[in-house]
Parts: sequence; structure tokens; C-alpha cells
Amino acid sequence: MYTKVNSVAVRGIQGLLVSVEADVSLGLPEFSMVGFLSSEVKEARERVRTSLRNAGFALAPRRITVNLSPADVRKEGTAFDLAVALGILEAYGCLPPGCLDGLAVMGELGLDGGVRPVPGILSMVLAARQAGLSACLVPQENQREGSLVEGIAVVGVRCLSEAVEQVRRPGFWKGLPGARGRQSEPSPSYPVDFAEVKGQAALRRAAEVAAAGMHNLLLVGPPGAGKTMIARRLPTILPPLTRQESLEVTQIYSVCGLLPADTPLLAARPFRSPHHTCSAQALVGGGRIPRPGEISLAHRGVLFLDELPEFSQNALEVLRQPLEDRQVHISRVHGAYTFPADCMVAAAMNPCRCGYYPDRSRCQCSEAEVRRYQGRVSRPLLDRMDLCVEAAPVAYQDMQSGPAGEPSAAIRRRVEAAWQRQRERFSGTGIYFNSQMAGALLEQFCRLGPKETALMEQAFQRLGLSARAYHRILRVARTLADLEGEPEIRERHLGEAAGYRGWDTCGKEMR
Amino acid sequence: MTEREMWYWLASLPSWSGKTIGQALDRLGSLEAVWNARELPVTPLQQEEAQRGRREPERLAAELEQLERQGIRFVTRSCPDFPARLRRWKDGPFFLFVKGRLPPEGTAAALVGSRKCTEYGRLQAEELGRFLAGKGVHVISGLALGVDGAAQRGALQASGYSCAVLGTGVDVCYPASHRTLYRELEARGGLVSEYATGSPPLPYHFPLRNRIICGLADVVVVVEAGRKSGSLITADWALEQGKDVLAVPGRMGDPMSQGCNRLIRQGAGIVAEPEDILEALGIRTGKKKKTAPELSAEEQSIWRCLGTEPCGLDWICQESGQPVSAALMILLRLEMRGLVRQVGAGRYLRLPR
Repeated sequence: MYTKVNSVAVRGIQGLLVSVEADVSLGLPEFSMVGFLSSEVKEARERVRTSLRNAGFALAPRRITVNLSPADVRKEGTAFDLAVALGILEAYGCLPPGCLDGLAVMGELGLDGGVRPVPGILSMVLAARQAGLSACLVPQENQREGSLVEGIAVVGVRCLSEAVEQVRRPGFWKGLPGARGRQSEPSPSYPVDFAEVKGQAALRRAAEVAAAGMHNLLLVGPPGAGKTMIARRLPTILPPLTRQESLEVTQIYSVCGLLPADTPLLAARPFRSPHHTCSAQALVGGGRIPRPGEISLAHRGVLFLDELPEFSQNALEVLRQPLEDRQVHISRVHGAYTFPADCMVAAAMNPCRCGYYPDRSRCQCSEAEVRRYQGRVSRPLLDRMDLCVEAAPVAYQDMQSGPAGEPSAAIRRRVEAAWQRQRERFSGTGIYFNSQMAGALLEQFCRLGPKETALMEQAFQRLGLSARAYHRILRVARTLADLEGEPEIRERHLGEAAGYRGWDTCGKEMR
Repeated sequence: MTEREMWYWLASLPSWSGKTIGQALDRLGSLEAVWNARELPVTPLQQEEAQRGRREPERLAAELEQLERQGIRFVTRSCPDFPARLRRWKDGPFFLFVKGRLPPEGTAAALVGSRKCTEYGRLQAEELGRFLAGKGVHVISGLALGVDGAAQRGALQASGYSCAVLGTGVDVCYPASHRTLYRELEARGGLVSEYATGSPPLPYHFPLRNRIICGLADVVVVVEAGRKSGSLITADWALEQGKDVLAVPGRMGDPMSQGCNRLIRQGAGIVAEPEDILEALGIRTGKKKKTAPELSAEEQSIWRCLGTEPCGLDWICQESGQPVSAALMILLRLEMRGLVRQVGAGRYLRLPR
């Protein structure tokens, strides 16, 4: 007898509906699985056979054929086990015919017949809803995560026998507690706060401006100047994630198996700080079966690159395209993958190997060494850093007795107001933040008055700015005006923005 | 065999230093005698090298012609345009390879200092170079990183004459990062070396080239020098040649200025302001009165806390009581007026006036 059960495969971070077809017929006893399967899917044969027996189903020896269709898409992961087991049971006639219709079944089986959690449930349930299915059968541990999706019932099961019990009752999902949709929104909590940062007026200001316009931020300074401390606190001054954004972030973490068991929905903005030995693939995503990289895990949050010049050239260069597109595209023989990568990059670096340049009484590096060190970060990448500030070492008095800084919540309120202004301005343009302005939009939204034009002209000539630096200053000035609630860019905004261009002059000074 | 070719023969022997040549000439009496001598009063290695060059006299002539084509002049003591200052002096070079112009008649000052200098040293060197060139004083230096390059760049900015004495062949730009300066000196100033073309920057070349730097100048100014800086060798040469040495003072205990401060203690002149150098050169100056820049109260508050050492934005804000946003705006204005300069990612210093 032939049966068909729906399950879902994960490609990239998208779910793809897969039909698990099972056929039981007379012939030599054999259990074969086909459908372009990876080895972990093929191993399902052993798991299913044993767990069925241990769950108490004594099945007569027959020829069993299982096909996962579409048969030209490679299937990976262990989430098909439960669907295969239920399909076989139905094909044997152990289940009422048609009881699996309109259902998507996901879960890994243990030899004891238990159902184990799998990564990527959120993407799977989303795909099932899109396909118009009415319920999902998922491992109990994944139930809370799956039920984040509205408009589809998600039922958790602990073991194979429980799953069989459930599906035997027609319409079993109706009225189950798991079927109720929306849960209460968790509020984000961060273990750190800007109140702990004492002194550091320049860094605090730069962090606020960067957050307000989602500008990339470069922190330069000697060791122990608080670069990392500031970067860690950046997510705390970003407005909380919307529900849609939370789902996007959770989906990525779920696929990567990084979702904490007790928090089905991520509410805090991600902060990712990959080590500088990180490979290009780990940073932007990749691998034989492409998986999201750090930049995608930092989606809607902050990607912090500490010790920027220590990263491999290759890793930094591949960052350039995702920073522009806010997406990562990866092509493989069997298809192309797209991962979201809309994050703010904060980078920290020492000005030279020893970290003390230009303080010549402490810095022992020769000019060539300093230049070589700074040259490790390519110009095109530096051009994508809208703000550059120098971190100065904290004075002892500040550290000991200085007043506590302004708390994150207060800064966040100002940032939120600036975001609101940008949302209104950019509605319908496809971008959301000042940092994303380019070309025509820059001209449209950063029009300068006569006084401002004169200032920029003078600065352009006196300071020898490049065209890129000029645009960076305009973008940052727009954010400064938004923070103040000023509709037009004023001289003072340009002046401050020019102060953050920093790195641009450095190369020139060090001839 | 012309005399010029014989000099070129000596110049093309890498193991023969100026001292070796001087000794051989002293011992044998004349250049002619050195060329013809079967046994030279030198080491076997030097002897062998000399012998090899002697075997092909036609090649020497060809190479000299080749130099002319490359725009490199080979001048010896007997040439009329050989610098008079070097001709009078026993330890001076016997010949020079020249690109661009040799120093014309007129007063000249050597501006030397550390390669690894502070931002302050660099700014002062540039400013002194500009100032001296503006007064018609030639600036002699060594094209090195740091102080040397900055001083020569300053001189060229003021459209003055500057001459670099190289420790490499005159056709080698060392350090390579001074390519632009090298080309500008070739076009508008001079490049001079006593080493044959193509000579690499060997460590022992530099103390010797310092003697030429000092020989070409009337006064030596050490802008910034640490305890072991090579520019102190230039100062020693100056004393030997009986020339005035001046030093730009540094702060007490500052390791980057130890050399300068020690020179002052040993009796070197002090450069408290640029005019002091003119005075040492015997140029009379009507000292102009310095006027403080006209600044608004806000600008004054920022200007007051800046010094010649770069200071961080945080410190400026704290000292001046201005918020970051206002401070950056004021600093930009001051920078555009040429009063301060931003160095590094966010440090500022006062420019010398």
C-alpha cells in the first residue's frame, strides 16, 4: 500500500516542503530509501526500523520503499525520521487511512522510540503554513519555537507512540493548548549597560550616533581604552526588535542550532564577536552545505570585529559585498542560497602593533611598521566605516570616582526618535537608515544651505577630503540632525561629522 | 686615460671608501700614480677590485657616457662646479654623483633629526624648512623618514632650494616611500651622493654621508634626536669642521629629545624660535612680533587646552567643558584656519606659528 506524508527540509534558512512517500509491498524483505539523500537521511532506515520495534509495533517482513520528493533536491538532517516512521505505519495499515493529510511531520527518532528535537523548526513551520497545511507535528522540545508562527497548529510529541496516538484521532490539533497562536512578547534584557561606562565622552557620543543611523563604527585606540566595552553595549541602545525582526533572527539561530532551549523567541539584538582567526566562510557563511556565517547571525544587531587588522585579508574582503547588499549570496552546484545580513559593523583596532602610536614616548614602531599595520585593512573596507573615533585610555579618577554614565535606556529613547524620523523620511524608498543612503537619495535628503555648502567646500579643499569621505560626512551629518530633531542639516552637524572622518587624514599625515 | 675616468674608476670600487682613496693618494702622491701603481697600499681584496677595473679602461668611459644619458652628472674636485665648501676640506669627498642642481652660492643650513620622530618633531622640521627656504637659505638634509623628509618637504613648499645627500647611489630612492619627494628634489632641488649608482643603503654609508650633509651647510640644526640618533653624528662632524650646531630643545626627560637636550648642555645653540637659525647664519632679521590668533570665547576655550603634543578628544572636552559635538565643530574651524591639525583618528595639536 502507498502513502504520502508531508515533511519539511531546510535549505539555507528557508523551509522546503518535502513529500515522504512510503510503499509496502510483497517481495523480498527490504527497506530502501531514495530521493537524493545525504548519509544522515539514509541512516534513518536503521533508526526507524529499530524505534518502530521498540515502540511496540511488530511489523511483518515486507518490501518497504521510501521516496523523498522532489527527488532532485538534496535532503539533509534528521528531521525526516518521524515522517518516515508514520508513513510506513500508515502503509502497513496500522493507522486509519488519510489521518496524516494536511499535516507536516518533523522530528528525529531515537532507538527507544523517543522523538528528539531538530534545528530549524521555525523555518519548517513557516513553510508548512505557506503550503496551506493545517497542523505540524514536532518534537516536544521544539513546540514553543514552532508555535511562534501564527495561523497553524503546532503539536509537540515526546515519543513515537504518542505521535501515533495523536494522529489516530481525526482533527486532533483542534483545541489543543499548542494550537493557540500568539504568545506574550518577551522584553529584551542585556547583561551590560552604558551606565557602567565612565568618562569616555567621545566614544559614547560616537556610539550613540552610530546606533541612531546604523552607521558602521571604527574604534581606534591603545589596548585597554574601552573599545570592546563600548562595542558590547551597542545593542543595548538600539531600539528593541519588532516581532517580524525577532522572527527573522530566531529563524537564523534556529537553523544553526544556536537557539537556547528556554527562549523560543529571541528578543535581544544579537551581538556577535568572532575571533580574528575566523575564516571567510565562518564570517559570511559557506561550506559544502551553506550555513549562515557570523554576519548573518548578527542580522539586525551588531557584528563586532575586534583587532580588525589581525583578520585575514580574505575574510575582510568578502565582507564588502554583504555590507553593501545587506544580504549574502552563496552559489553551489545544487543551487543558490541567500542569507540576510543586515547588521551594523563595529570594528576595533590598535593604531600600530604595540598600540601606542602616535605617542612616540611609548610607541617603538617604525613608520614603515605603523603603515604596514594600518595597511592591512583595505581602503574599500575603511570607506564603509562611516564613523571613526579614537579611544583614549581612561583616567584613573574617572574609573574610580567618576559619576555613572547615562544609562542605555535614556540613550535608546533618543535613538528611537531618530529611527522614527528616518522611517518616515525613507518610507517607500527601500532603505531604512541614513547609512544606507547613496547617490540620488543622498542628494535628495542631504541638501545643504548656502552656509553649509560653503563650509563643505572649504573643508573639502583645506582638508583634502576624498569624494567618499565627503559622502560619509553627509550621511553622518544627516543622522546628527535627526538626533536633534532638526529637519535641515546645519553647519554644526557637518562640523561634528567631519570630526569623525578621522582615519582619512591619517594616511596622509604619515607619508 | 683622462683624469675624470680615473676618478670614476675609484668611485666605482665599492670596497674603496673615501678614506682609502685619501690614503692611497697621500702615499703615492697623485691620481696618475695610483692608476699606474702595480702595488697599492690597500688590502688584497681592494687591490683585486682595483685591478679588475683597470683592465677595461674603455668600459669606464662607456659607463660615464651612460650616466650622462641618465641625467646623472659625475663631478670631481677639479670640476669648476664642485661645491666650494667641500673642496677646501681634507676629509671631504673627492667626487659626487649629482641629480638635479648642486647647491648654488648662498647660505645653507642642514636640518637633521630622527627617522622615528614625534608629530611635534615632524611639524617643527617642516615649519623650519619652510621658514628657512622662505628666507632664501638652502636646506640640506638626507631624504630620510621623519625629520629629514619633513624639512625638505617644507623647503620645497616654500619654493626654496633643498639638497638631499644620499647614503645610496644617487639613482636609488631610499626610503622608497619618499618617491614623490625624491622626484620633486630632482626637478626643483638637488640629489647628491658619493656612492656609485645602484649602491644599496648599507648601514656604514650613512654616518659618512652625514659628513657631506654637514659639509654642504654653514650651520647644523638638530630638530629632534633621541639618545642614539644618527643626527648626533652629523653634529659631531659639524664640530670637527668647525661649524655651528643648533638644537631644538625638547621637554625635560622626554626620551625623544634626549639627544637635542644633551647637545644644548654641551654648548650647542638653542633654537627657541626660527629666527635663531638666521642669527647663527649671520642674517639680520627684524624680529616680527607674534600676534595671538583672533579667537572667539568658545574657540579660545579649546585652543587653550591644545599643545604641541597631540591630545585626545576626550581630554579636550573635559578640559574645555565643551560637549563632544561642539568641540568637534570648533576644532574643524581651527583646522581650516590652519591653527590645529588632526593626527591619528582623533587627536589634535597646535600647529607652530
